[in-house]
This record gives sequence, structure tokens and C-alpha cells, in this order.
Amino acid sequence: MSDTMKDEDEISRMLAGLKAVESPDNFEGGVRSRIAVRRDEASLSRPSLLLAAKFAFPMLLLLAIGGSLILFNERELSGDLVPPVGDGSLDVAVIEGPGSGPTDISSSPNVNSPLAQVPVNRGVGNSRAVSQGGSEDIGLSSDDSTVFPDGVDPRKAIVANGKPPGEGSISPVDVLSMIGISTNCSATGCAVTSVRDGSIAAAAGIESGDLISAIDDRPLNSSRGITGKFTVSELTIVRSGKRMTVSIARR
Amino acid sequence: MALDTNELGASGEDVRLPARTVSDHQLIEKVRNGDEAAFGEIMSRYKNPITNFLYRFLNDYEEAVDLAQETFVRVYFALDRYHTNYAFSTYIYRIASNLAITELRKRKRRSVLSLTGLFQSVDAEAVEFQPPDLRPLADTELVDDERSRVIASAIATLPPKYRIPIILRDIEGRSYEDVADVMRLGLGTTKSRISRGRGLLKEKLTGYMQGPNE
Repeated sequence: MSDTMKDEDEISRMLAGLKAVESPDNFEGGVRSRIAVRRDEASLSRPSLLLAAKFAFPMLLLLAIGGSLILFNERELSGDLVPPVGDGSLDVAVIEGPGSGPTDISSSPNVNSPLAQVPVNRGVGNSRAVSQGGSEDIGLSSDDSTVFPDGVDPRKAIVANGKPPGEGSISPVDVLSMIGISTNCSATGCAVTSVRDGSIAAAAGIESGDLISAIDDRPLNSSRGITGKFTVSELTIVRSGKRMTVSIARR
Repeated sequence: MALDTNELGASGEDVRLPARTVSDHQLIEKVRNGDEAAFGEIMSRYKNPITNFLYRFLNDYEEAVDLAQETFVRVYFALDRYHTNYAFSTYIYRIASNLAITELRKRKRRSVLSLTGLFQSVDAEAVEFQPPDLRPLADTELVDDERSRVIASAIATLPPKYRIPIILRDIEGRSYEDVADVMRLGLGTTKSRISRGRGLLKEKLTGYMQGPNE
């Protein structure tokens, strides 16, 4: 064996002869304490960060959507409604499309009519019901900018509040008045006494002396009001003994 | 590749690792399944070898215990990533070695930043610049004679690349293959480093080798 190898063996023996140290008695307890502390730290920090990262985007998205909805609704509610005028005693809802309907109720010659007191939505939305009672949105829209003297466009929709007949109905006289016709109703229909110049009825060719027997296939009867949701898009009249249908044309 | 069984030292003597009825890998599997007692068994198997390894590396008992505990904490939280294609002993010694090397670097930084450390380095006999640990040993019974202290100090002056394999081989009694695995080196390089380390120690311990023990 060479000297070098002998020296190496000697060194190796010296090292192997060193007394081994042992870990202290509380060694394992110390390790477990550290593990517990690290675990607590991890449970406090990681999940919160992960949760924040995981839900930040969806939460922001929801907030953005919710915020825009709230803003949109507030704008609609605050700026687009005409407050009711008069005592609002007429128990109907009027549903209007964008850009349609009267622009100046107070200028109407029939402003004292009960129908003139119906609040009207001039909003930009598709439609909105304004009523003391219930309403129904039939989603009509129209580009017609006709000014209706009585403040409503009966061609759109009128809802008689959904109440039982007699309680929530509108009289045929009032309905026809909305399109400019003054009538005298009886059991057989409503006789036209006058047609207001420039009204939609005049444009449709309704004349004094006509007997209006039905509105949109609803037979007229002075003793019974019109209930439910209805429009006035055509009138059935009797003129000179002839029965004919007149469409309420747009101007 | 090292086997996960009891190891025999270079001289064929039984080394310090205790006899095992359940393999390390089986214990690890139990820990992964939530068996905390199995981790206790792992600690009881390795706490003394790892503490001794770190003590010989740092020549500071308190720091050795601290780093040994940290080693087990790291092992615990990394068990899910542990691959059983290595012996567990290789794995845990590698973690301990890395922690020990990191500690040495911290000591260097502290020393460079401290005037005291610079003055101390003048008297140091390190092969590479390495501030000695001048604190008194925690347990004087652990190094009970001057010869042991000198040998311990000499080991502590070796560069880490020689110190680790020397300690693993000659003090911990690991096989050359194990040492190579821990160091991530080839077998030839590992043997060469161990031989070189012994040569460096011989130069430092010449007086003691020619002493009464010879």
C-alpha cells in the first residue's frame, strides 16, 4: 500500500473515530412546531391571494354589469317620465312607443277631458306603462310622430287597469274622443256629432252623422265600457245605411 | 443509484442508520396519506445522522440542530414532489447540504460586512476565505479532547466541495455511490474529491497523525 493510501486510511480512521453528536430531546417537537407555523402562515396567505385572484375578474365583471344596469335604470326613471297632471282619476294605463305621443298636453283643446289627465311616457325606451294601477307592456313601437290632441295615441294600447268590467273600463265616448270624435252613444253604437279638424279621425274620413258600431271588432254599447287592453286601429261605421270599416290612418 | 436499505460503511461496519422493518418509501407513502406518526418515524431515523452531518459541516451544534430541523420541515412540505427513484437518504442529505452551503454563504456575507470578521480572517487557516466560528461549542462533551477539536476545525476549513463528500463518506459512513448521488456527481469525480479532501486534511493534521496514535 502506498504512503498516500496509508495516509488516506489514517485520515479516514481519524474521522470515523469522531464522536457522533445526537439531536436534542426536543428535536421532533421543534420540527412539528415549525411545520404548524408554516402551515398556518400558508393557510392565512395563500388562499386569500388565490381567492382574490380567482374571483377578482368575475367580481369586477358583475360590478360593471350591475353598475351599468343601475345607471341605465336611474336615467330612465328620473328623466323620461312626465309627472301626472290633474287628479289622475282615469283608471287606465297608456303604453307608448318611442317618439310617439303628444308633446304638449297643456296645449290640447280638450285638456280638461279625463283622458287628457292620463300621464304619458315620452321615453326613449320601447314602451313604458304609467298608471295608477296595473299595466301591460305590449311592446309596440312606432315611428309615427303624430300629435294627438287628447294626449294619447289610441292605436298603441290602452289598458283598462285589468279590473272587472265596470270598474276599470273606459267609456266608448272617451276612447273616440281621444281620436277627435265627439259622439253620442246608444245601445246600437255611437253617433258622431262632430269631428275635430286636424284630428286623426278627420284624417281617416270620419264624418258627422256616422254611426260607429265597433272599435277593432269590439261592438260598442253605451252601457258597457271597454275593458282590458285594446287599440283603436280601425272603426266599423254605418254611413247612409252602409256598413264600412275605416282604418285610422296615420298622417 | 442508491438502494433504500441499510447501508454498510466503507469498512463494512454497520453505520449509524438504524435497522428498519418498514422502508423509507413506505413511510413516505404513509405520510402522504396523512399518517403523521410515519413522519415521526422518518425523523427518528434521520435526525441524528442529519444533525451530525450538519454539525461536522458547520462545526456549530446550535446551528446544526436548527438546520437539521429546517431540513425536516422542507422534507415535510416537499413530500408530494419527492420521487422514489432516489433513496430517501440521498434526498434528505441533499437538502441538508444545500441548507448548509446557504448558511456558509450567509456567514461570508456577514463577515465581509463586519470589520471584526475581516480581522478574524487574517488568522484563519481556511483554504478558501471562510470565517471561522469562534463561538464556544454548545456541548463540550461532544468534543472531549483537543485532538477531536483540531480535527473538527480542520474539516470546517475544507471547501464545501471536499467537505461534504468527506463527511458523508468518512463520518456518516455513506457509500461512494450514495455520496455521488447526493453531490450529483459521477462516481470517479466523487472518489477523486474524497481523496483530495483527505489529502488537504492530512496537510492540516500532520502533527496529530505523527503523534501518539501512530
